[in-house]
Amino acid sequence: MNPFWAGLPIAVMAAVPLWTGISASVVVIEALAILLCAIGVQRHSLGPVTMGAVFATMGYAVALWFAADGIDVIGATAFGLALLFLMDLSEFGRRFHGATVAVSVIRGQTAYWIARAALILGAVALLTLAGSVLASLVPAQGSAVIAGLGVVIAFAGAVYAGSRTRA
Amino acid sequence: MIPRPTPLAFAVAMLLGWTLLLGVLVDRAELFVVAVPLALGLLSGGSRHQPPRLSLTQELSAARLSEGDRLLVTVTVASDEPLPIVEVLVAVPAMVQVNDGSNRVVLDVDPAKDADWSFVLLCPARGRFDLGTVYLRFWDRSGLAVYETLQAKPKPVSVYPYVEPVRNLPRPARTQFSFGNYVSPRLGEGIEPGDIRPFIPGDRTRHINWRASLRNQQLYVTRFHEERNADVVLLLDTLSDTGAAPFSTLDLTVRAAAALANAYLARKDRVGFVEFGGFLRWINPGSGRRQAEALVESLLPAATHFSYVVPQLDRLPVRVLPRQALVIALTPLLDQRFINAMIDLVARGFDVILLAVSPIEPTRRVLRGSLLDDMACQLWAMEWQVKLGEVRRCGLTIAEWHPEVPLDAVLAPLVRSRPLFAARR
Repeated sequence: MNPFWAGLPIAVMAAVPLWTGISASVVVIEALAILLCAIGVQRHSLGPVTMGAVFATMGYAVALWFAADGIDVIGATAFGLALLFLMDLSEFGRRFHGATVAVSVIRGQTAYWIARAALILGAVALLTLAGSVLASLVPAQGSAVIAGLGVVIAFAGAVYAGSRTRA
Repeated sequence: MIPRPTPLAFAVAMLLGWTLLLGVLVDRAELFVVAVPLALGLLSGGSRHQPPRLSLTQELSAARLSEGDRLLVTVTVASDEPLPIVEVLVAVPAMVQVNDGSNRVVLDVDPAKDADWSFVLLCPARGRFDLGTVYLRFWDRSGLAVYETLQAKPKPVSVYPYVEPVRNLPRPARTQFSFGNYVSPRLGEGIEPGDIRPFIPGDRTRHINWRASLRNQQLYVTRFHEERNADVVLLLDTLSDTGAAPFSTLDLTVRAAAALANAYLARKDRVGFVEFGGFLRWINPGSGRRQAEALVESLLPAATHFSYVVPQLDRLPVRVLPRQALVIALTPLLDQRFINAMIDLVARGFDVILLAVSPIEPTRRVLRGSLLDDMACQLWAMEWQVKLGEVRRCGLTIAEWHPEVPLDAVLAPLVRSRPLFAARR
């Protein structure tokens, strides 16, 4: 797979924080993130790419810190998807570097990634909708209870997933 | 076969945790939204519970090759369930090179159709190796879990030394009693006229020499020289080696030994082999195709084995090193123990020819070729010539072989200098 494909998620990953709130610190952090990701993709190493993603997330957090109130769900989803795809692409390039990869494998993998992206977009839309409905229905005092319930459900789901994988 | 999480799984999990932590610290909902794709990506992995079932076959175009030959390897993968990503690595020994294609492929397996691929291996150096160890990895589409296994069905492959045709073979000084290609001074049945003598009852009439009979007014018969074979023992110096395969001095001497063995056996001679190294290894002199096979098989594993022990040729059984045998010693003249052994053989009355392969050119091949290297090689070449002179003065017949010169051309002067008629046994 052409490593230049990794340039697309890197561009999205760097553009979303700058779009959210441009400042010198954000620019520096995102530049560092881009550099690390480019090195990781070029050298077929997951470590620098992960570090780059960590820096990019940090830059996004800094941008959000200085940004105005209001939730940018689309930007956040694009950023999350870009992170995931960047990790996937760089890992795919790393593990099959030097091997002859069948065209059908690349075709199938691309289809899988597109399908998973669609699923994630649908899930985010559903969660956003459910959040909006809950916010309008549940009074302000009950939001903490709902959040706690969400944490308990997430923890149970993680434990179930872990036990299923171990089995 | 147990699935294990990949580095990607740990990286995504770490990134998820980092995003959530930043979300809590910054108190912004966007970072929790960012965590959703990462969490869903993590959940999409590790859906398989049963280890994949797969059958793998590997076919080789040949099991016996000569140096420089190519080997076609075909691998077929079949499974009764669809496998999205199967990584197959055929372990290739260091002595062979992948010439065409790849020994590591990533493919998907469909139960309806077997997946197969081929690659070509170049075998530049002699030796034996096993093919058939295959490493398999079954990747999840998510890339978060992997199954690893190993399949080992060894298929031995032998790469024999290249046999160069040799026409100029040094004649042995002494012959044996069996029929062969050398004209013996002994008179009997043959085609080479030797002497005449008066006819006695029982002589064949077709042997009557009419010209001599008419001149002497008495019947004379022509006597013929017998044609006999000889014993040739190839003595291989494995005490030292220099250069890199397939152009090391040992490889060159092994190739020369194979060529000489083949040529002498074609002349109906009996050929034996002695490996003079860390330990003595030998093959009794013999003739025929079976002997040719035995000789190349014994030449195949020839290698240097370091030892402080000095091998003693006088401890060899007489049938291994017959006194009337022509001994052809193949050596780079780097170890004094071998030189001493040859001088000892000559002193004991053996007919010895030393085929001395120059160690300078094989060593020069592995050097960088700097000015210092060139100077060192030139000095070494001079030292080697001095050593050749010393050995020559000890009464040994020496053929000096520089690898760029064909073996046949090196042996040609020996053919001219050796006696036409082999001595009586």
